[in-house]
Amino acid sequence: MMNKTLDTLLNSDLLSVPDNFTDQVMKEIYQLPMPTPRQTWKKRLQWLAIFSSAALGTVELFSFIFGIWIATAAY
Amino acid sequence: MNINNFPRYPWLASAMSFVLPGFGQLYNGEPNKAIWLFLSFILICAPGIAFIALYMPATWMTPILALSLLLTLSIWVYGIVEAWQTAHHKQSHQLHSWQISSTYTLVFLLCLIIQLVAINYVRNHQVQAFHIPSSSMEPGILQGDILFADMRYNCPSCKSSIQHGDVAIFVYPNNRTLYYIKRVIALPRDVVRIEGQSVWVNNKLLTLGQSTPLATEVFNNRQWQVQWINSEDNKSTSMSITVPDGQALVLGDNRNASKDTRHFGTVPLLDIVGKARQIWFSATLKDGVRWERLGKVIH
Repeated sequence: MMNKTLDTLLNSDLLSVPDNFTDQVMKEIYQLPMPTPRQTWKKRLQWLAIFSSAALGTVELFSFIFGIWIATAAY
Repeated sequence: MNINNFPRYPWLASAMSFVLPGFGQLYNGEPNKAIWLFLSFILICAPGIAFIALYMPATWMTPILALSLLLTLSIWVYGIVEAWQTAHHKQSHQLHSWQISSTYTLVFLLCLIIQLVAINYVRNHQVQAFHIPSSSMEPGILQGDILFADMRYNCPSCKSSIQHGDVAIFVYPNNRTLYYIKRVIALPRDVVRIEGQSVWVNNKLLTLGQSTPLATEVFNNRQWQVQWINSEDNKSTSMSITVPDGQALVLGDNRNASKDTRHFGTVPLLDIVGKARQIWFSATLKDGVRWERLGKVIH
């Protein structure tokens, strides 16, 4: 069964776009709300946590490896 | 582009293994490898080899502990390199259900705690290094020596108890943040008499032979050397004491340059924590490294 509406649309010419179509579209786009700003403090906090954990881990690792060799004074 | 593809970053994998052996392997999605790497790092190396070293002749202690250091470093470096290589070849990776930040944090914290417990156990119950900043134990132990002490000593499950002649590490009674190292001369109920340069324990003279300033002391089958330098300056080397229960009488081998029982009294047996075993390093600013002393067993 033929879809008459679709056939009609296919046989018709393409829509004629007004000259300032692009400008109008872009104008609307600019008026859209801006994406929510990234929460930089959260990112910074994450990196701070990662770096401080890494520092803690490294200190702990070296104190494990060299723990036996670290000497305490005995008078 | 596949949004479920999470390529592994080699720099991140190796950085994670740098901080904690096996952590980079976990990030690469290889939990089995991660666990074995961490276990070999934590058990086979420091505590394991320290344990073996303590059951071997004292002369073997320093080389075996040096070997343990080498092994530990090798496993650590291997983990870093392996994590880098695996991540480099894993440009397509689908995350496992457990590869989430909370798992990484939990594993990281648990491993830190395990490391902390392991090294504290080794230092408090197996072997610990002590630096000697004083000359009180010369001629046997010199200022600038660093020695290993056997910490499986004087405790309910320990193999060795305190014996006459042991070079013991103990908590200084007048300042419990300090350790002292002296020779155990007498144990509970022993009667000790010191007169001039002679020491008697239970009416038995310890001093065997004397060639000023050195003297040899003997108790049962053990003998050690002591020295009396500037003995004329010392006016207070005369004492007689019966060692109370639960206490030990300790003297420095450098009798005129030592603060010991003659100054602070007897030491509670409970405060004696270790027995000096072997020198692993010796150096002073004046003499530099004293190579001939490395590995010397303490008698």
